Amino acid sequence: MFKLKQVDKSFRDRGDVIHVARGLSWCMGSGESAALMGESGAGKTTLMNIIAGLDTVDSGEVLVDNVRIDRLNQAELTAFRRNHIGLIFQKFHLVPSLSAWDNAALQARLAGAFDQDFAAHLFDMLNIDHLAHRRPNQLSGGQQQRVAIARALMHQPQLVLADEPTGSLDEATSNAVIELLVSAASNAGATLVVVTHSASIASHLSHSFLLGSGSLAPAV
Amino acid sequence: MTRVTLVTLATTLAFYRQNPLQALFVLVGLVLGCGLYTAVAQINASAEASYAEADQILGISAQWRITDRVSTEVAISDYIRLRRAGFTHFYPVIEKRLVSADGALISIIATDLLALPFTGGGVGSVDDSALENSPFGGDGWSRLTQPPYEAWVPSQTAARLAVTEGQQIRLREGKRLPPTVIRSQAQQRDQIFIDLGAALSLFETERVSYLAAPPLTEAEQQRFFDQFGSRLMLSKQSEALDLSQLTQSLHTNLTALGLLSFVVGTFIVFNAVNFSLHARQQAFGVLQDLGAARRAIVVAIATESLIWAVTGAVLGTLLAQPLSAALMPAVAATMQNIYGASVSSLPMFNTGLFWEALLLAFAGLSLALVLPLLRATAMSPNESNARDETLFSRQDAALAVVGLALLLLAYVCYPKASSVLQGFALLSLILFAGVALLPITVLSVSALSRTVIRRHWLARWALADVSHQFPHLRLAMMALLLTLIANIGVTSLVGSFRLALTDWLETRLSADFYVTAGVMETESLVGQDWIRAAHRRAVAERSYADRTMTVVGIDVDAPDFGPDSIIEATPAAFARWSVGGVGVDRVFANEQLKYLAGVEVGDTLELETELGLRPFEVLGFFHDYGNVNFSLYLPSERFKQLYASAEPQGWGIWVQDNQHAAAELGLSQLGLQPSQWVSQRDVLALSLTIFDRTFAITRALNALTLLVASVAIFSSLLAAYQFRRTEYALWRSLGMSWFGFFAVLGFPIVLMTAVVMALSLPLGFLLSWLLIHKINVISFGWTMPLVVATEPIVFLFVVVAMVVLAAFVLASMRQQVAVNDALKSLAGE
Repeated sequence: MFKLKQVDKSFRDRGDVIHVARGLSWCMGSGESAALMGESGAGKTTLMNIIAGLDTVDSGEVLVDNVRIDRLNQAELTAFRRNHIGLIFQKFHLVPSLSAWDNAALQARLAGAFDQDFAAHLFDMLNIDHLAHRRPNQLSGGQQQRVAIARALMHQPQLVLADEPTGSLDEATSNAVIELLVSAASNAGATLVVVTHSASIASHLSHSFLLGSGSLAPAV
Repeated sequence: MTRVTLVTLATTLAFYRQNPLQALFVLVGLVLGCGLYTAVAQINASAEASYAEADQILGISAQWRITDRVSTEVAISDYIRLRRAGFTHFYPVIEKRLVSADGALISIIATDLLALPFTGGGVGSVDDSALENSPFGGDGWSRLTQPPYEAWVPSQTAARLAVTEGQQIRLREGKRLPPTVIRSQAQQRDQIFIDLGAALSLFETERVSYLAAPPLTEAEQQRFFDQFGSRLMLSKQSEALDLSQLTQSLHTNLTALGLLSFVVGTFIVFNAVNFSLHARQQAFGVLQDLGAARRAIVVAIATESLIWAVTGAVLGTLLAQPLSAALMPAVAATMQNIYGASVSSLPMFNTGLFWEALLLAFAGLSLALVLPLLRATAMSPNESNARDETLFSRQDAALAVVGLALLLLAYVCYPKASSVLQGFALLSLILFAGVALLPITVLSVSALSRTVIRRHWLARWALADVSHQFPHLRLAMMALLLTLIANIGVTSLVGSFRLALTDWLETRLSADFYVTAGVMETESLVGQDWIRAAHRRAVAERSYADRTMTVVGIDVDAPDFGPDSIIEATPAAFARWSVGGVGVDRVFANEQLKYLAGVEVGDTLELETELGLRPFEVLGFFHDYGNVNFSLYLPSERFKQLYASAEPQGWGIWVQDNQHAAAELGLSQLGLQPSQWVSQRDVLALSLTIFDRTFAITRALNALTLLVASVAIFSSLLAAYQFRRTEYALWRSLGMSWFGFFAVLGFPIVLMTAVVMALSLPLGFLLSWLLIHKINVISFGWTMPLVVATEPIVFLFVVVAMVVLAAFVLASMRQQVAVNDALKSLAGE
């Protein structure tokens, strides 16, 4: 689904150069799921941003669904992200002025891919159909994250990237949310990458990778 | 200051190092607010200083004024008689307002230098040291008082008229003033000073405007009345023209506009301070966790406010100098045109104004800080964020109640308001009622629109975003509303006034020519076929209710006064007035008598005439714009019987159609000099030019206040972008195009601006109604119909729309880069 080829990425932090990726190559196929793990500051979020088109590489190739996104301009990247990628953040980032339903439908509507029936099915699967008219400040953390999951999946993207999706949740809710995420992504046929510190969360996914010193290796 | 407080202060101030734009907006708000307020205060103080010197002429005491009972102007022969009778400390003064050949207004004052009573050893005595120390010391005065004479022109007047040393200013009639010397004396202000002999020769007259005198003993006053009381009138200078009282409405108006500018500037500060406190909330929490007491944080913020206040006051006072220098000439023109008051066009600075600005700045900052500070230091960030939504609704509901209460209070107080200050207090109630009602109006319109527009999800999103943008833009929109209400109010007032004045002047100046009194006899006009009508009025002055009453004799068939000139009357009043009454004389009164003296139609007044005390029945009222005195109109035939010694004024001549050129030729052939007649068309055009100049200061202040409001909107938008950047980055992360992004951002601003405009209309009209029917009546004793012209209001709305659009575009310009940068840190927050 996506392929990173000999990617280099570094940035400066007060005079120090931090290498996120040095000749890093990584690929994942359709429908697969993986956990991206590593120490704090290793660059997990930066790597995820690169795959999502939110950040650029210093050199190398980034292909998503066979499209060289490292060669796209801002407008093309935005359009690509809109149609092909779903994002889930640790802090949920729901739009406070919209209802749960409208929040979940937002990206699908932007992409012109909103399907009322699919939306209802997703809400039912994520057990949030009774929360459709509530606003984000009326939802618990777990409920908000499920709405965010719905948003990321509603336009039926090929790739879903989740950065610490359970970071703001308690353990019981985290397990419930990750199970729902993996199940919903699998049902939608989307490739899923989850950035996480937690081995417990990683155990729900089919692969685990460890990022460190600019290189990626399968986690033991 | 303790170490803890100092460390706290350094920590809190560090915010501005990272957010220089917020610092700039706090400063801009303070500087603009203080600057405009101080400029207006300086203008008012300068004008009032001039009024305080009103009983002095060129540094000499002029506590008393002597005028002719019949013609007002005093004959030189009477002046000579007075001196021979021992009144040697009376001195003659000629004051005239003329037009130069270039169309500029000039004010001339002339006196007999040798007759001025320099006081040193008592009233009327001449003291050598006083003379040497006076402005007329040295030998320059000898050239002033001898042919070819000199015209002493103040530097600011010379600059305005573009004249240099030695040049002779040419008047419109073709005459020239003596050669210019750029020099000015005490209390000369903007007037051109020439010798009396030069003036008498220049104006070809044997009369002076009045005689002035220093303080007189009771014995001297009595001797004057005994010897000259039948021909001449002695009045205190302050009775003749109480400038402070007369100009109170204008200065209160200017002060109100200055305060409005300060309030609008304070809104910018409110916004910036609110944002800075909110952004530092986490820092306050950390400081408290680390051991800084809440008191230390409060002291640090108060110290920060003091620093801002001092900086804002200093820079604001500096800004006020060029601002007041630019606005002062317009104010001086207004004083001259409306009140005949001579005011210097150079503003005076005094340090008291700086302290006033500092106090205001600190008070404004304190107000801006108190509530947000209490919230910021008392609650945790999560708690305050969660409560913000609720507080927003409760606060705005409370404001709405306050707004309605203010309107009710204005309604209750309206009949009771009887002074200019009370009138302006009423105006401020309207202004702040509007401001208080704005939030609930915006939210209601937004909620109503959402119920109507259900289908289109992007429109629903944009409407929903109103409730999230409005808290950031609330103060700026309130500032805009205040500005619009004031603009519409004053624009409608000026428009109504201009229309009423134009109508009135076109009737009053309907004669084609006006010929100066005393240069042409009735017989000269007989047989002139270019004349359609010729009439002249006669005037006698009396006193009524502590104010001058002018009785005017008018021909009943004069075209410049007829039934259309009457605004309130008994039935068939004009016909009854024309034929006169039996036992009681019938008059029309100016509306000043109605509003200032409480006279009603049908009332009878008693006035002194040459035949004794007589009753006059008031049949109706007429407009008499700009007249500070009372006036009665009497048919001329009856006037001649009651005031036989009154000299008639000049001739108003109406010319046959297309005979204007023939008329000018005819007047010349009658032996008249060009300086002895004037085309009233030119006077009408000049009057309207003066009118437009008169309100230039108000238009300037309105424009400046609109500028301040636009800065408020710009700064609020920037703050909102900064505050919601993470949310905006999310929108982009979901693939929203820039078009959709700015559509969702822009639509709420369009809606808010539209609501502000809609709310400003009725409140603006209410304001102009109050200005016309309350404040104008209290100040001047006359009123006019409120006429709303749509063009200026449409133009104003277009300007506002462009201003808001410009603020939106400018604020949005860097957002693409900023939001894209924020995308990178969206994840992992």
